[in-house]
Amino acid sequence: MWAAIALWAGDPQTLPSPLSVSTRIWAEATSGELWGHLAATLLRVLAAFVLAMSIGLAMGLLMGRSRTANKWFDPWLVVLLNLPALVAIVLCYIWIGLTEVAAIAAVAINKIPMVTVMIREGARALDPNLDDMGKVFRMSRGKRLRHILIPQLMPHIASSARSGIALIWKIVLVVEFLGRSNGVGFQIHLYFQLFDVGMVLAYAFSFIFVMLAVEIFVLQPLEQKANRWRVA
Amino acid sequence: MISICIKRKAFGATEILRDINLSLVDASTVALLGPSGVGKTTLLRIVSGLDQNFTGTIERPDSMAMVFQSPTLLPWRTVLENVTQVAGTSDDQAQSALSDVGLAGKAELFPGQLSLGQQRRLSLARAFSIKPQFLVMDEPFASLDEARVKDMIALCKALIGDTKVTTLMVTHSESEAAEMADKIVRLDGQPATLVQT
Repeated sequence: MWAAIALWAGDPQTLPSPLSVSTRIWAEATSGELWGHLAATLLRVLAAFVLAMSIGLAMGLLMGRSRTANKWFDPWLVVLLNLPALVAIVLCYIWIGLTEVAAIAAVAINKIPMVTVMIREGARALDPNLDDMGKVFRMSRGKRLRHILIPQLMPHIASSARSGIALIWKIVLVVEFLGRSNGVGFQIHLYFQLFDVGMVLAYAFSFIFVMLAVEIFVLQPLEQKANRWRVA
Repeated sequence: MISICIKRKAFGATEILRDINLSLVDASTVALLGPSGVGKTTLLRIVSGLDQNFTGTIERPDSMAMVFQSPTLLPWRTVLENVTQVAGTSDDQAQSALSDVGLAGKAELFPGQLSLGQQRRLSLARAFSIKPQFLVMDEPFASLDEARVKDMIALCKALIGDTKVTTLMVTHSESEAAEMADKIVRLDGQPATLVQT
């Protein structure tokens, strides 16, 4: 359909054909230019993802299991949930500087509230009988976390991870667009200024392929392993 | 000797238990009978250390296990892991405990693949695997049909006899209490107190 519309439009400057975009991806890949930018973006996505999931998991657990903590942090959570991504990015760049730390922090700040909300809902629905069982059998805190808490939260963790990674990479591109000198977002900014739609699409699709590979080769196998007991 | 002395237990303004004094002689089995909602499970939670918000004292050994009203298993862990990871026993000890309750060969299955009777046996294996000095059982035969109850009573009696574990069992069934226990006590009233039968 894309090819048909591109042919009908007849303006490769505005809408290049799939073949033209593929050729550009190939050219960028063989020149080595593509891989450096993909790696830079992927590393930022990973760093922001790990940071957002860790803090969101801890905060969600705390707020789901303690009414006092929920009372204290809930107003802040609402503020952060409604904070526009662009505001967080701009403020991080102003306050921290145009650095890698600011870029990753800005992305994580955008995602942490969503992870917190999803995990909090899961933590509120935990089975109290399993808690009691762990205490009676004197399971250590680490064991209770690994064998009782995390498996119960796994559906919430999986859905927040999946929605998280999709959101994070889009915000990473904005962060790169505004204040980094490498990465897919930087390249899109560069080719936007040159009005080169073909290269914009080439970089966008390249990273979509990377995220598809992450979904197929990392997320899905992990989810299948975690859900092994459901299908047995 | 296990000594239970609960002077008062209340939830807010509602007093649930008052002046409960009960001693369990070593290797004996005591059955606690009482109508639904009288406070039997509250008493068990206090005895097992899950509820410490009461007035009184509990003297019991550290080595304690509990069989819950529902099997209370980890559905995402295998049968073997439900014993080893929860009770902290070795694979060999767990396999032996599983064999004792008739679950030999089921170690790699998940609890969802077992019948309710087998799940209850697994919860017994988990409790007995640590060779406890004190065992607390909360309605351990609930939701089982008559034939399964008979099997489970026979199994429990054999395991308790082998391990000489001091046992406190809550049940609403007079016949289960009579078959299992050396001594039967009744919890009744509002707030509930003990009535020896």
